[in-house]
Amino acid sequence: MNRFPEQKPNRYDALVILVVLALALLCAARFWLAPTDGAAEVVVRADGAEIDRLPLADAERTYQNNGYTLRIAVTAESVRVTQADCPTQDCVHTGRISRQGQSIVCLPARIVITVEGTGAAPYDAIAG
Amino acid sequence: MKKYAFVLISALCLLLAGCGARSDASAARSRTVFAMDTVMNLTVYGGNEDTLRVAEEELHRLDDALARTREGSDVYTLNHSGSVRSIDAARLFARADEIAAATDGAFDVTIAPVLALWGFGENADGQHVPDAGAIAEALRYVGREHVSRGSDGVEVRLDLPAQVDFGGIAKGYAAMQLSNIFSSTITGAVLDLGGDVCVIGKKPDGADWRIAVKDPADGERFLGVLEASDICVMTSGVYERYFEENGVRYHHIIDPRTGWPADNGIVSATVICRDGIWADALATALCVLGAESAETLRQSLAETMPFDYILVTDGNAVRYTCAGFTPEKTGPYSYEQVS
Repeated sequence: MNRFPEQKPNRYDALVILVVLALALLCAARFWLAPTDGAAEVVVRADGAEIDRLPLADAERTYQNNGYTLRIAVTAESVRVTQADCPTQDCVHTGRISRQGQSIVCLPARIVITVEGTGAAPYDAIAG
Repeated sequence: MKKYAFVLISALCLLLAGCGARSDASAARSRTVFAMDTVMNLTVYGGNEDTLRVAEEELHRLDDALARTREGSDVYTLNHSGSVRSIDAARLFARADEIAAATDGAFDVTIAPVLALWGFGENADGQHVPDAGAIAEALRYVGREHVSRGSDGVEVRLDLPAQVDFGGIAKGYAAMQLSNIFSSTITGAVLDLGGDVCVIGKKPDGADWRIAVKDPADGERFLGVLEASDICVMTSGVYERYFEENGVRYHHIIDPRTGWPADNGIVSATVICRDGIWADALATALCVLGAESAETLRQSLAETMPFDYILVTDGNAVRYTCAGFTPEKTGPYSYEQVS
């Protein structure tokens, strides 16, 4: 014997279900259908802190940190350090980078320039 | 009503599952650290800011302790006074001694004086081909027999004027120290120590990590991608530092047994091993040993310290032993998997 009488669903029950369903689908879509191939960006960090972020598109920028100055050139395909007054010039010699996760490091200036994507990276680390 | 309740509960489950897809266990935290003359990127999953702060402090502590030319460091004290009490130096020496024995001296932390002669050491005075007599004299103080440990296991003693430089295994040691720090606080991590990579655990979705291996001839290309978990991937190559004299190129990987740059056709050696210290040291040792001896060593260590390698030779051949490595085949190389 039921303790509670059987109740028939009304239009408000349907509304609640629809709202919950909509929220659920929205939430699931946000996380499960996230883009995997986002546009690449150039991210510049000095002493580990982000100081600039720009799209892979024609641009030139100059950055100063730790007493050194770097000039970078960005194109639609790649980024490279064109000029630096650091003693090692390793950043200039690195040449162009274009693939997500690649980076140019200037140790004396403590500046790291990385190509990043907004989607999932095709690899988790680059060794070598 | 029961039908509606079922739909409602299912939708709520979906809502909670969707919103929980990026829980703490899968949230990545990263930190960039400048230490050991390189830039390091630490990414951890499931940890917190304290985890990364402790890791960064440990890297700076090791940098201070192991810097060969920094007055007051453990290694500086050992090289100048002939002894030091240092748990880090003692541990590093113990491992270096094992590796020197296993590689028949192809890796040796007492090579520093010879490197300095060639101008590859820290504070070296110009790079040039040294006099053969000077090399022979410096080689008298190269060898594991010149270093010993005290009975307490913390003291390290050195026969001066022999010198040690743990630079060849310092990053591998740092990776293992970080692994210990992280072991109870994270679900996974990617430690990029200036191109030497260690991954801990698996990715948040349970898959293996994907590690791209750079082409030594072209930083824009990859040799391939390695899929693995709980592994270190360390590389040494003759392209990293070199100079030319009278039209001949001399690189910085010096054979501790001859005092001359290794000359056996290896351009780069990437070693894949669970132990970061061994991976770091073996990458150098394989450059010294050459392809055939590298395979002999791999087989001899199969039970005690299993490792895999990816060797690039000057004949544009890539020899690799790891099943999880997928060649990218965009470069000029021929690939051969050694079973």
